Amino acid sequence: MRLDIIQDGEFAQVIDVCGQGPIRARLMDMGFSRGTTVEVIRKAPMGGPIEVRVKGTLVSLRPQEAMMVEVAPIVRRRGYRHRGRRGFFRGFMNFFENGTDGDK
Amino acid sequence: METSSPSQKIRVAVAGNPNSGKTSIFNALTGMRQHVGNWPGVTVEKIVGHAVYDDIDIEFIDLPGTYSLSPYSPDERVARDFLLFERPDAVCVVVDGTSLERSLYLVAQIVELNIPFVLALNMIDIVEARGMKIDTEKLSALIGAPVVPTVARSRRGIRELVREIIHIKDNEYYPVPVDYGKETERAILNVVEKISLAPQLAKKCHTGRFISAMLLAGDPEIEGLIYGASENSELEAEIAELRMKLEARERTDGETILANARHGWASGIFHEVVEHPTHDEPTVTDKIDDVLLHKFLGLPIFGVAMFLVFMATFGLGRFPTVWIEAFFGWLGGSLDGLFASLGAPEILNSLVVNGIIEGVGGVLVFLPNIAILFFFVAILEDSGYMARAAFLVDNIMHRMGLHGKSFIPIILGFGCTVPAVMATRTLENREDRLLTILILPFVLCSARIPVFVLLSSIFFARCAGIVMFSMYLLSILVAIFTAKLLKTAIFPGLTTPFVMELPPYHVPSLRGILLHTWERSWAFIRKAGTVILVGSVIIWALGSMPPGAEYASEGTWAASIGKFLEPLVKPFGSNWIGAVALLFGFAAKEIVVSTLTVLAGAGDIALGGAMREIFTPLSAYAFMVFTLIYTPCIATVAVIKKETQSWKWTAVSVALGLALAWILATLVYTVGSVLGFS
Repeated sequence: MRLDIIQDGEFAQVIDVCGQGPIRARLMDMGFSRGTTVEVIRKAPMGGPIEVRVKGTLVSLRPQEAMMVEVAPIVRRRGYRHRGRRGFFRGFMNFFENGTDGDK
Repeated sequence: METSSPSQKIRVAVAGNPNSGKTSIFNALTGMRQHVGNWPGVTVEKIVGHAVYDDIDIEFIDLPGTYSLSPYSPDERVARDFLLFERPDAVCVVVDGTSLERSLYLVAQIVELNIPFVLALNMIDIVEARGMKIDTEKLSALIGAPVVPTVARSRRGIRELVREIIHIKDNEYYPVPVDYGKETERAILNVVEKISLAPQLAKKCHTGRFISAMLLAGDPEIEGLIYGASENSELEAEIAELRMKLEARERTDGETILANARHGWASGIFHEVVEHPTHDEPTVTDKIDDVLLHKFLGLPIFGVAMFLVFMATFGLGRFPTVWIEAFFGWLGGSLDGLFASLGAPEILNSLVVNGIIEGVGGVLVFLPNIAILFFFVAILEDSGYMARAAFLVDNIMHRMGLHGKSFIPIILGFGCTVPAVMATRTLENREDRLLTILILPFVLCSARIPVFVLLSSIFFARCAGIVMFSMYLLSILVAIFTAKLLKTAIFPGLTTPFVMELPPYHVPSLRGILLHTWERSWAFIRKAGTVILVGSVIIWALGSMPPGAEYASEGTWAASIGKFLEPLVKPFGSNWIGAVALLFGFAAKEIVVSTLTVLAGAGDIALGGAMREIFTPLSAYAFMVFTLIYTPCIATVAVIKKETQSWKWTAVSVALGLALAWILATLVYTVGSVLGFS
């Protein structure tokens, strides 16, 4: 499975970085290496970049680059965005996104 | 290094990931103030600072931020080359404690360089606030180097850091390099031996292990350096064979073998020394991003932010602009009086008042607007929001053939093209940089505003605002059109990767922002003091020669040149005065206004009347279109040459501007005439 099709809020484990050339080296330098757990945090609308947490840092990449990262989805763990928001924007944002006041 | 001199001298490189706070640590160490940005790779030039501690003169070199020693951008190459070939006495590796695991990947490579190093574990306050615990003693033992927790802003740990740097040679630290596994290690030893047999490489390869590892990984640059330097092609063949064997045995390429081993090393150490290494709790940055990068709200928020920045720039800038105008008016007037009372020659009086003060003053009027714009841009950069902006707009920019990171230079371009071109350095790919540099001159810089204000207030008094807006719109359309055109014509098939770190948010320091604003504004002031000063004097000379001619009258050289060029500007309805103004506009766009007013003889009749003798509303609009699109100023040309390192691209930029300007201005004039406007 490729990283670009992982849903936002889901975790996955890197199997390999495919392709070649400097961009592949760059992805590996930024922390995409075999066995690393990545969290897809969000996707910009209309095929825009994807934001991923990898080794405690936030990295954004286009779907074209995310395609190069071969991953296995991790089903059990779910990101903080699935546990409901706390604090100021909670109700507002949940309502805005889901049309309800509660969690998904 | 001379160790015999009374006070000892050492050279220390400060290295680290982008956004690790490297520059802040550098500032804290040297006391030298320098910009702290959030854009990956904001430090481009080699920055050196000195400090004396315990009678030891330490030279600190601030290296550009880098994720690894396999360079991806020119900045990273600077850092790699320095560490590899200039062999500093010690390296201070700055690591962001909140991204320790990723940072240790760079440390893994620095360990292999065989240069003593100290690890500054920066932003330790944020680490603590997040409830993470890092066992620094254990970390120090595992990497074989001193570890000092630091907070650059409050200078916490800086003293200890200096102490460790000074005593690095006396202390018994033995860095432990990554173990790549039996097979790889054997191959590396083999390569080390082979290189050391080639005597001409001996000097280059003080870090034999690292070089050998990179050769096995097939790093094209190291290969070029090594095989290019040694005259024997046998070495290359032998190493290639070793590499093939290794890759066959490990069933993957050399690059991956090394990267995986280094990540393994980093990950192993990270999990040894950190308690609570998971990030399940949303951080402050996560919470802010939930709003600022929201699927639907992100772009509107960004738009509002940009709108406010522009309102502030031109709203707040109005007041100081008026003061500066008044000051130069007063200065010109009093000098005029002074010269007259001293009986100075008329020509000197004219040079100073008409030439220098008018020219330079006309440009410095924009300083407030530009400084305010740069101030806000610095806040956006230093807080971490600019990277988010690139994330938000990348999709749109990508459709236009540009890169998300092109957006910031374009925003700066609305202030002044010169710093905007300089800001393209954050683009890693050369083609992307070129493309951005080529479209930047079309972005309506503030220097062109007075031309539009002057003409639109005279000819379009009722709808000056709409005319002004149409200029901005045209500017953006031309930029998009050119980007598309160049992308398909010159750089077909170019898709540059967009892989960018989104640094954690932090409250920017006022000092850092003011410094950044000052640096960029100073670049503008320097331009006013040099290029524009010279330009003003040349224009004044052309307008005053031959001797005896009345300043800017029809008998001057300027008028002759204008009449010679008249056929070129005729198609869009301008006459020789317009031609001279546009020609002089090459020095700086502001000069277009002063040339027009001077040549039209505005001293004699009211300005509006004088202008109506030169232009009709339609030809005035066509003239504005030409002014908008052709090369902004000589300083832009100079900076494009400097940044592209190519006369060819500089010429392309100027030619493209002139051609498009002429075509569009003529089109506007012709279509306008046909439709019955005048």
